[in-house]
Amino acid sequence: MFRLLPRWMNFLSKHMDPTLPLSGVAVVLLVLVWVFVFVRAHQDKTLVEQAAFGNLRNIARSFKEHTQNTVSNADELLRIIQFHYERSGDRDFPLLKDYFDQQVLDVQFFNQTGIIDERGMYVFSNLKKTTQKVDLSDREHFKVHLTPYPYGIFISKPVLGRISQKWSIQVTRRMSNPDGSLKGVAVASFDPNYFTNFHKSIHLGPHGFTAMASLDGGIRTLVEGEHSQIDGALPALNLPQSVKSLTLGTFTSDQVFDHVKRFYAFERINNQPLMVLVGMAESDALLEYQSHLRSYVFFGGLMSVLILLFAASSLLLLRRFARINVELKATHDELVVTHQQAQSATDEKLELTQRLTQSEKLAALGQLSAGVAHEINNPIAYVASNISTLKKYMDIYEQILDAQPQPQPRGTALNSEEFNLALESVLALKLKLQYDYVKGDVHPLMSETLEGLERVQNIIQDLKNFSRTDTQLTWQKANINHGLESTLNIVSHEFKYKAELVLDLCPLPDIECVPSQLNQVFLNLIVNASQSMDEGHKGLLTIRTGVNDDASLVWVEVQDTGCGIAPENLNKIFDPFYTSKAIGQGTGLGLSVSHGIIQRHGGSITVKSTLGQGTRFKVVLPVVQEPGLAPTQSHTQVQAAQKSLPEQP
Amino acid sequence: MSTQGLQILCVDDEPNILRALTRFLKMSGFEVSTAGSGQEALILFQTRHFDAVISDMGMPGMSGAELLSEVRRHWPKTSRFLLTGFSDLAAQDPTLDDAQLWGFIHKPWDNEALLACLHAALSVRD
Repeated sequence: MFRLLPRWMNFLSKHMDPTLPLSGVAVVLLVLVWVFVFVRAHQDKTLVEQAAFGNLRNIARSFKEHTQNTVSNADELLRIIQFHYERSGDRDFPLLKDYFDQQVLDVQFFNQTGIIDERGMYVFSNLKKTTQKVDLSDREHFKVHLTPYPYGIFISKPVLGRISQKWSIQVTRRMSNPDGSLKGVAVASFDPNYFTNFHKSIHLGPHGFTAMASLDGGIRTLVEGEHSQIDGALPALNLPQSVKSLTLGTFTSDQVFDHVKRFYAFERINNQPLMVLVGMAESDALLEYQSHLRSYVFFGGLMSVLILLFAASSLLLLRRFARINVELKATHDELVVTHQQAQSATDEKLELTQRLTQSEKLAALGQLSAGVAHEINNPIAYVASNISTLKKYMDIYEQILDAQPQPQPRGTALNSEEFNLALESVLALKLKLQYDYVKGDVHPLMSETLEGLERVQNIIQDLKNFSRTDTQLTWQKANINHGLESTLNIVSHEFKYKAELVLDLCPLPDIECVPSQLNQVFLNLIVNASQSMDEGHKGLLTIRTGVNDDASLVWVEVQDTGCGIAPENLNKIFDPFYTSKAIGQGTGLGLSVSHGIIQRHGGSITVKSTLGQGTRFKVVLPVVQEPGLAPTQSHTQVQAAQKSLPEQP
Repeated sequence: MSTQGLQILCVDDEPNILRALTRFLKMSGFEVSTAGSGQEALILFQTRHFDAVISDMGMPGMSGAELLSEVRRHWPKTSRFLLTGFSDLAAQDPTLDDAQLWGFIHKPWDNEALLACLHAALSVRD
């Protein structure tokens, strides 16, 4: 199995849809990012809020101090008036008036100051022009003093002054007779703008809120944004419960005055049922936070997009990996099948090669048959003729034997004359029958006949050697020289009328080979050499063998003086079916098969040729074959290195 | 008719063939000469007369057909026989048209048939 992907990825792609875990990871990451954004934003908000509240508290404190100072100033004035009125009644009015006229008492920020008597009549004013008495008995700032007022001085809501005709806050103090009954009320009324101008100098944003109010929500002064309110038709402030019980504090509300949500800080004014209240709209206070929040949300959004992109691309990649893996596996399976097919094709090719080699051999044999028949024919011819002649010789011997003087019966011996006559007739017969020639020729006849028979036997044996089908191919030890001689026996007819044979054979070691296949190669080379030479001029067929220095290689050269091979054809001569011969003269397989045979022997076959001068083939063969390599297997490394490279002429 | 003293020339590159031919022709009363090649045969023709020539077809150098064509040109009276193992192939040789053979003798030959053929040829000539 090919392992192009890590094991875990393989496992993943095989056993799990990657969508689920990836989506899970993406969701977790998204949640983490947004939790972070939320926490950071919250922390930021808390910090900003704390800062806002701190700021508001400080403002409330200074507002309270300012108010208290103002009240104290007013109180001082009222105490002086109280002192004079309680001690002397209206007798001291001229003195008081003098104080104001001479600016002993500075009342710049008061609209008016004066005295209300026990009946509620405005009896004294610092303002010179005022002479008529005004009834103020219905006013709250008078009525609160009918019974002793617990806080000493009373600070009223803004009311429209009946004398000054201005909106004023009335600050009043009870004056008592020595018996404790009401003697009158000292009053100082001052312009609420004195407060509201101060309010306006405090920057609390476009929806800033400052107010001075009683604990039950009664407004004394109020500034909301650009709007300041001092008239009396104000609704009461809707204050939370905590404000009444604490001297200072903070809260958040959208119910106090309008429906703008604000942060508020409040502080009680000492010894008064009054408080100051400052507020800042939450939206203004959190302006900085809002911009931070936008950054955080932008960051969160960006991260989310990145995470989603990452998840999506990872998913795509993983799916692609999975697909590639599947394809790889398919390819691998295909390769296995292809390999098996290639293996069987190789086996088939081996068998085909074997059969081709055998076929080529038989084709060559077929071509040789005429020559071989001729080779056999000659000895048969003279053997037959000689036997026929021998029969005649036997007749002659018989006749001469019959003519010999016969042994006579006892007592009738031939006389010498008769014997001589008989001998003479035998001699005459011998002469007539050429007995002397016959007698002298019998032995040569016999030996020539036997020689002829031996030649036939040898040729038949060589043919049998050559045509043998090697079913069980194994390396055999054989001598190349013997193979060459045996081959020459059956092909000599091919060249013997065209060329003179020069044999230059060195003694060779036996080599491991398939002898019949090597003979087939030699036969092809010799037949080709023979066919390249024409009958007109007698050529030379030279066959040499040799061995290299360390006796590891033997070589065979077959050289002719024939027509040669054109350089452009040198590369083709080992190709199957390439032939320069006429149709019927060759299969075109001879050199191709020879090349294959030499390759399987781990040897090389090279050629050197000059057009018109001749060709030399050289076969080099190893003496010892690689162990474990059968003759059917190719020496691929040799094949690669030496594939039909022609020697350059 | 007598064959006594008739001159026969046998040409072949195979000595054993020549000797076999010589044997039985001699026994049949012919005077037999031999040559190992066409060139050698032509040299012999320069010096002597032959009544008949029997030549092998396939020989190094000059082929039998060439020799017999030459013999026909210069010594037309000499009867010409071609000895060959493959008469059908040899008959296709165009030079044979010039040779005007008396006959083909197939290898392996029958001695008696060859003699009969020679006799026939030589008696017609006479």
